[in-house]
Amino acid sequence: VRDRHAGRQTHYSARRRALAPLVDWTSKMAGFWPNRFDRLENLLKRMDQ
Amino acid sequence: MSTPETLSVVVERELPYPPAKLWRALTQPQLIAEWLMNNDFEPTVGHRFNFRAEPQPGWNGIIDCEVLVVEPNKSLSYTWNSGEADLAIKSVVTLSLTPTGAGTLLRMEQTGFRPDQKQNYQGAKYGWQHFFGKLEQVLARAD
Repeated sequence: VRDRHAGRQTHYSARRRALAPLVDWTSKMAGFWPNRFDRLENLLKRMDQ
Repeated sequence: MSTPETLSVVVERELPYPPAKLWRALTQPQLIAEWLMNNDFEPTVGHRFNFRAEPQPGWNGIIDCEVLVVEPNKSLSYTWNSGEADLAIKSVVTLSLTPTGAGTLLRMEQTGFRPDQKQNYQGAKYGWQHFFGKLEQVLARAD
């Protein structure tokens, strides 16, 4: 029972490490898009029609 | 059995312009370059293109994309894949336009996942709404 528990812990840690780049990337994109929307608004204002 | 792991970014903004005007800014390459990035986009399902940004340490600045959905004045979706090896991320960007009294509600949803999760890529390609198990949303309010 103890070995199985330790096995699950190892698996969980490995998954968290594998997902760390995804977490970092998501944080970056959460800042990226509002900034891009500001630029889009600026463009829309400048567009004639 | 592994559970799909995805993270989403959602940004919404109401803009005082009609959907058709927004659609042009979202789908004409020279207009896209003004607010997003340099690109060789075409509004055709299946078209493969790139966004190009300034290279940074650890990233060549290139984003690989394929157009998934083109519904004029309503919905635009493409894959957005960047990075390499350990830092590689696959994602799907969906831009939705909804007319409102004051103009258009523009919604951007980007759902990202690690490339080794093959089932996620299939799911995202054919309609993310139906395939994701655990979905965490990072809601970034524009105002």
